[in-house]
Amino acid sequence: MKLGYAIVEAFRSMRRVPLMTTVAVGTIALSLMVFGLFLVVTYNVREALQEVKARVDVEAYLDDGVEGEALLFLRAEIAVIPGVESVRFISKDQARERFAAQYGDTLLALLSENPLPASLLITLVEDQRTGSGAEAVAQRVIPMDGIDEVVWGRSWADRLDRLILALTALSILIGLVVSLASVFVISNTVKLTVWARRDAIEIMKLVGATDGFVKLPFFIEGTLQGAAGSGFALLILYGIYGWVLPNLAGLVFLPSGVSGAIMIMGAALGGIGSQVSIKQFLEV
Amino acid sequence: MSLLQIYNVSKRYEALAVLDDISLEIDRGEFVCLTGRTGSGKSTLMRLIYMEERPDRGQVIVEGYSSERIRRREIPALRRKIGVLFQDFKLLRERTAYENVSFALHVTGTPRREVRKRVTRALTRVGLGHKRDAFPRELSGGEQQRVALARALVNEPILLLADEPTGNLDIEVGQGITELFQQVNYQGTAVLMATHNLGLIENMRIRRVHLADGRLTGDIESGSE
Ligand SMILES: Nc1ncnc2c1ncn2[C@@H]1O[C@H](COP(=O)(O)OP(=O)(O)O)[C@@H](O)[C@H]1O
Ligand SMILES: [Mg+2]
Repeated sequence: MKLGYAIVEAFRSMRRVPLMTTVAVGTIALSLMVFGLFLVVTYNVREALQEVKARVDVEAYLDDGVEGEALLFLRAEIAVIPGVESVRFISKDQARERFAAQYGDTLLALLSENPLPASLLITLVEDQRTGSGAEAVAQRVIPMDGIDEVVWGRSWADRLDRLILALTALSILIGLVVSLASVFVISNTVKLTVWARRDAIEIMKLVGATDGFVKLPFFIEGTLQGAAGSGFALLILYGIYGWVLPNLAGLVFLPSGVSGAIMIMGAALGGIGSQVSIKQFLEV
Repeated sequence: MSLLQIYNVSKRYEALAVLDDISLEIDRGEFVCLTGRTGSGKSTLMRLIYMEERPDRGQVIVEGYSSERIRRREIPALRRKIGVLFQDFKLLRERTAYENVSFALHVTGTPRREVRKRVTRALTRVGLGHKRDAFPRELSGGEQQRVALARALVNEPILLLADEPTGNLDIEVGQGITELFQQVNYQGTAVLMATHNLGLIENMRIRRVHLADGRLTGDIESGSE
């Protein structure tokens, strides 16, 4: 069978240049591993940030002197806004403690009076914990009597979104660089095997092998090297993951779809790389 | 229609006019010997016939394939009808005699079960059935050329082109090879053999053409008094 013989020939030619083949597979493994590592990091950061974002809440600072019935009324009024899960009162003293816990109390000690306002911390029901969900609630709280200022997580939620976007873009960039490097390395290896096998190529053409048949073994060679490289890359990644996992709870590996994609990507890059040098060397 | 027609072919390499308005016809089953000094253009003529190169002027027609009209993807089909031999055998070093011959079948997509039968037959035909597992370095020059001949014949060509096939061989060994060509020729394959060794063909009853100064001359039947 045609394909069977071409595969045998592909292995034959890789045996002719074992060092270069090893280097090619190694280089591809390494670069795809870097790429994969980046994907794992991006993926995990993304998951983690998604979780942080889920903690979006709204805090309404009160005018000074809102207390007693006025406060009770305000709390009740906020509690019935759709999307609000609970409302917790934070007094001026609690606010001071909270501030001191976060930033130390040297700054506050300089002031004779506690400048921090009391506030109501509004927790949102789960599916409202987004920039727009928080905003909707905030917009209804702002006009209420006794409210000084309302802050919600929109700005930093947006910032997180931008960070995720930047990480994703960086991954794509690295993916591109890695792709180019792989194509370059494989095309060079195949170039070398084409050279090492120029006598066999000459005979093939002489006895009437079609161009397609002359090229097939080299295409297979490139594809196999790419696939082997990505296979090793995934193995190493999985090794690193297994080693790091106990120290970093909650770290997740790539979804199997992405691992499969890396595998296919390696094979495709190999195939493309081989075509580059075949075009250069076999066509006149 | 004859097997090979060469009409008014000219070929030059830069300033050097190698072939100058050459014409030649070869019929099915003919045995033609092409003589001429080294550098006279014998190999160039061979390359024009298996269409490794195209003429600058004129036309080469082999089995209906014209050098003017043949497409790149038709060339393999043409090559399968032509067997080619060279002075340096062009065997693949890391393959056995059997593998060198089967290579020609595999790369032309021959079904696997046919390969063994045909390779065995071809090796037997050149008297090397017993050396099928030998590598080229384990074979004498004459044996290597016979493996190359088996490879050239395994696709049952209608034309065998032999470019100084005995150039690297002792006289007697060369004679053995030439005798094989005659057997192949008896079985119906046309042969065009280039040589500058006139002694080799002295006593053969074959057609001779002579190449000198870019011209083909002395298209004569000889040895048949
Ligand atoms: N590819 C080429 N480029 C330039 N010159 C060539 C090429 N091939 C052959 N020649 C020249 O053409 C002439 C004929 O060569 P060749 O056909 O090999 O002669 P022969 O086979 O009779 O010895 C020689 O002078 C050779 O140097
Ligand atoms: Mg020559």
